[in-house]
Amino acid sequence: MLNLTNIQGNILRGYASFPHAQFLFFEIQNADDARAFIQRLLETNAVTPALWRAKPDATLNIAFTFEGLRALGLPTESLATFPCEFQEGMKPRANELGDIDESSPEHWDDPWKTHRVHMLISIYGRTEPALAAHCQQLRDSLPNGVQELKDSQPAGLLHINGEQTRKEHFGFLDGLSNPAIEGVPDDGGRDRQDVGNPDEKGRFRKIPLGEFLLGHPGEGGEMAPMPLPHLLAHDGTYLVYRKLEQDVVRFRRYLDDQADAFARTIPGPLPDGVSPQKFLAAKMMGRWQDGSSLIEHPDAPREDRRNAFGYAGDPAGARCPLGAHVRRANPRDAFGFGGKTMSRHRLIRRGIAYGKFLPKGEEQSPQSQEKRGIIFIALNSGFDQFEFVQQKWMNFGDDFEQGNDTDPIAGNRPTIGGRQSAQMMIPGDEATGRRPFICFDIPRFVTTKGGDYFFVPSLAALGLLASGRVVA
Amino acid sequence: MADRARNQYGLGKAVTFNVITPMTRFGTLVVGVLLSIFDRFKSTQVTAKELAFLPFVHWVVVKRDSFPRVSDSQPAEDLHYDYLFFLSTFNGPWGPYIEAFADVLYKPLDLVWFWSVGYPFARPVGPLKAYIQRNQIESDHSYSAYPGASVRDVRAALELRNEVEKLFQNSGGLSPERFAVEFDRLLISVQNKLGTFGPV
Ligand code: HEM
Repeated sequence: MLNLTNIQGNILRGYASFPHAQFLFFEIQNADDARAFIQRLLETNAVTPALWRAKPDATLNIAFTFEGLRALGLPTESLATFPCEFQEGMKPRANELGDIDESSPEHWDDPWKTHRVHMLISIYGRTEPALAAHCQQLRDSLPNGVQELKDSQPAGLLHINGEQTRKEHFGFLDGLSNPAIEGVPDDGGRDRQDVGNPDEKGRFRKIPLGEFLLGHPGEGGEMAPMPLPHLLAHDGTYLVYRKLEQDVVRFRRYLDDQADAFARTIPGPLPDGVSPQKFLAAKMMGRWQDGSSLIEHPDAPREDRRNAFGYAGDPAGARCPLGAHVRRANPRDAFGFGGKTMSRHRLIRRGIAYGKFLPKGEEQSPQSQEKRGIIFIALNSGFDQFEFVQQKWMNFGDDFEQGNDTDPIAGNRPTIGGRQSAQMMIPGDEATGRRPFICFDIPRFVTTKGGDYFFVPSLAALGLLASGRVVA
Repeated sequence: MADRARNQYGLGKAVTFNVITPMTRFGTLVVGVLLSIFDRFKSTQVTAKELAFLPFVHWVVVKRDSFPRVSDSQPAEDLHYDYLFFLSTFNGPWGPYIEAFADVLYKPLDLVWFWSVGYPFARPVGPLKAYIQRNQIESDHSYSAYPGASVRDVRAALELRNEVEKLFQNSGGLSPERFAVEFDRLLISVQNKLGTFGPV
């Protein structure tokens, strides 16, 4: 049964109407202080559940790393039952996650570089003043034994040409596709359509709750391994937090550099408003910048955000390349077998942008030096979801017949034969006569700047943690 | 443990995976029949091949009195069971490999492994993983002729060579224009077989 008042917010449904966010990081120096602090948050109903009676001006949610749970005084019997990926945390897993070269932890931002964050408090506001007030209130209530770590992370929807949008820095509409989950009403966001997993007939079915919440059956009727005690784990989940810096100048320059060569593979003129750059960007992402899918609209964007498309009808990638970001990140029916070889690797994403959008034409200006990117947030009940997608689908290409090639947008760029590079095949289209095009020497567009694995307890579990009476 | 081959360029892609489970004499009899059926009717093998993360899967039964001895001076063992050897290599991580195997090939897995002592059935996969963990034999050494190649890499390379040789043979007297057309045809036919490869 789904108890939305026990589950923390921003997991099953996103905070789409809260455009401003602040992520605050803490170290727990005194367990009693931290428990009293959590207790006070619970007593004042400060922690936002998945279901609210009246919509708040700002939301607040709490999550802990493994070190955080330890610092809270969780007994070893309980700590030992958490998955090893979570116990290790993100930094020691840099090799597995492809956080190498510029992305390696020695280049991360603070607090990630120097500290092991214990507690993450995410605050989202409907307005900037509401967000600021909420953050201030929280900071004022901190006990001595809970220290804030610098720097906290602001984030929020981007403004492009004065308009607030859900686009990310490379110009693509984001936050479109999330898993459709059994028992969870559709997200309700204006542009969103959740999508389940394919069945034997190639239709979509909803995904069992247990893929995203502990204590519920998941794919195949199975439960993800449950940390003990059950009350601590039930209705909780794991949150993957990654600060991914985007190099917008490099991305635009690469598109410009490739534009002429790519255009030569296209017979005849491009439709109005479609430049070779836009077309190439769409091929790399698998969607046009306005969100419409290349499967439904292979030739031009149509502001169509329908999401129930499959890839089985496009086996060679004439429409959507096999190595495009969204086809890698969620292959849907592309592998056949009734979706059975991809169904256990879905992610809920709640990412949000940070930094200011770089207007076109400002690539040389001081603005281009500012830092910008995505706070990538994924939720899953086990790490064979996020880590699998990251390792096998973002940073490797075998499942998509792309050899070792990595994701053109978010992948790392391993050194092969002494040269750091990546390539992507943009398959040709026999129907239109467009010839194949290989993007060579794709530079790194996205660099990891920090992050960790967090456990998001249910409200009941927060109460248990606050009581200090956890017995495994 | 050395479950992957390594050369100077890096770590091989194929992971060795060997599970040895005990069977009664009756089980040995049934499994013998089943394996000969799988051998004759190829559908299971075809599915296994379509699961392109499997370079190799093999089942072998070794009877209790047939275990080899290094020399006559090695005393013969007094075993209470026959043994089913599941010998395989796969590309990718262990957990998802077993899940995909169990999700897609649970029928043949259950049919053959059912006769092994303590087998829990392929689904749910949790108990199967535990069973495999208890009976898996770690490799001290593994050899791979092409550590940098996955199953898909090998298949792609073979097809690519085929197509290129065909063009080479048929393009002798072609005009540049015709050659360009033929080359484009080649390129589109092998376009998803051109990923970079090598050890990872
Ligand atoms: C800065 C880096 C990234 C950017 C700019 C980016 C951008 C996007 C965009 C524009 C979409 C399409 C819109 C949507 O479906 O919401 C998308 C989809 C998606 N991305 Fe990313 N992404 C990034 C990194 C990642 C990473 C690292 C992962 C996973 C480890 C990931 C997983 C996904 C998934 C699962 C989808 C949904 C695919 C679908 O359901 O069709 N993304 N991304």
